[in-house]
Amino acid sequence: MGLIKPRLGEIDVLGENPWKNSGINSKIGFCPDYDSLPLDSTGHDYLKLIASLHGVKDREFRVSEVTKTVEMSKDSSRKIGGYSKGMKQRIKIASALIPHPEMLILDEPLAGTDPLVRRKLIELIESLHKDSGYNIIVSSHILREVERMTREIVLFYKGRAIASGNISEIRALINKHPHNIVIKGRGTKELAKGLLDESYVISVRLIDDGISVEVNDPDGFFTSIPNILANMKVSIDEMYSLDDSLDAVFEYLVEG
Amino acid sequence: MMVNLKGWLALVFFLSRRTLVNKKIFIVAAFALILSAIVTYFTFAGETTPGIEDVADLLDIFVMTFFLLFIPMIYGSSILRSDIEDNSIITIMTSPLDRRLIFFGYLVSLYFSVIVVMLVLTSVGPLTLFALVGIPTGAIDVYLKACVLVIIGSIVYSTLYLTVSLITKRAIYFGLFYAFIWEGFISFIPGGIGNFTIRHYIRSIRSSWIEHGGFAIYEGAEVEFSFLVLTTITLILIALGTFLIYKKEIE
Repeated sequence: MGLIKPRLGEIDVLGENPWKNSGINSKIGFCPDYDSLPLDSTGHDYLKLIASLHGVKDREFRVSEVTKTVEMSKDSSRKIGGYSKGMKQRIKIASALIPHPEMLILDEPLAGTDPLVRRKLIELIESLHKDSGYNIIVSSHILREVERMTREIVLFYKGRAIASGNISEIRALINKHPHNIVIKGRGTKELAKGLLDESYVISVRLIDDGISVEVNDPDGFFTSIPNILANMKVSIDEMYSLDDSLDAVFEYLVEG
Repeated sequence: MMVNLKGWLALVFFLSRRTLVNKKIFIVAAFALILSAIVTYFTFAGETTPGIEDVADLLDIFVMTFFLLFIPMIYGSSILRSDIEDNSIITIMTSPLDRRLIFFGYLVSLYFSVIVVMLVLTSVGPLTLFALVGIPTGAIDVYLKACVLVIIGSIVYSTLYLTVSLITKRAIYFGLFYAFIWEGFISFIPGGIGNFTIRHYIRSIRSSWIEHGGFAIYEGAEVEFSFLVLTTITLILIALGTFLIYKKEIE
């Protein structure tokens, strides 16, 4: 996006050098990973600002089009401060769609969302590619998320590409190692009892505000967890894998 | 350079609205109330009815000496820096607007916001006085000239703090040093150090324009030279700010 000057090597985005080249930004839709939305603006007003910045001609029409695409038509007139995390993510994706970009860059689009919202956002991203024809680059440190969206990945560590290709081959290496997953929220003690019956669970440990689950089949765990949570009526605030960071991946891939 | 005037104006409008309509506005309202109360008190507690000299002194003490230093500092050191710190500037930087235009967008919205706030604060005292005792002869002229001076000062100080905020995260500390130590203390050391302050040239213009109040006897530079210095400082700071934002990496 031309925000950082390359220290080494060269980079071309859509055939152009992005550094000091603001013109290229009209071809790229960018969804940042942080929440810096103007909380006192409505989603609609924010998107109109983005449309103005990108020089979109029929702003009202385009805003209504993208809010429909991300299923935010009903809520776009509400103030962003009252949005849920998932709604904020949708508005950010909508803002990336505003300029009719040739390429979409989504930086951690699922960060901080609960499993149900994640599933919906993944469906949205898939639909943007399959139905609307967008070329999408998703940046994520959770490989599992990426796997549900694409098969081809490039793995970066400290600014260097350390692996690229089919995600299954890379994941297969990682899956040989047990994963520790932290779940925080209400009713996690009951959840712990339920999880112990699952074949992929090695152990469950109680921690502050939740549990830490060691699993030997992360795929099986993440596939079944939404149903388990729904059946047990457990409300969780946060869930993350301690072994999904790039550091861990790097260790798996490079340091053995 | 890509010029998208509508986009640039939308940015200016968005930034101005955000700068003016937030919690800081309550601080400004509180200052305005205090000024109004002070004027009311002196009007009724004084032995003589306030006149044009009092209007000039009121503007000198509160507006020129205090608000003109601090309001641009508070707004100027934060409007762009806080966006860099919380990464919200990336939304703007990843638009097709040229970075130099983005800097001008921040600059113009800062000018607008600071001038609006400063004119409110400049007007509260005199208008309260006019409402209580009527308009002393020549007071409107003093008031209008003070407004023009406030606009000039707002532009120069705002440019200074906005540009400094691109150099350091702690632009507010620079501002406090500049206001308290440099302009408030070191500039009074004999030997002409005072000439190296923005205040010196604003006071020079003030003493030439307004022949009332204590600051009327200030021995400063010629008006034309003062304008030249203030314009030069502003243009250099704008050029520096434009250069800095053009080269700046946003991480």
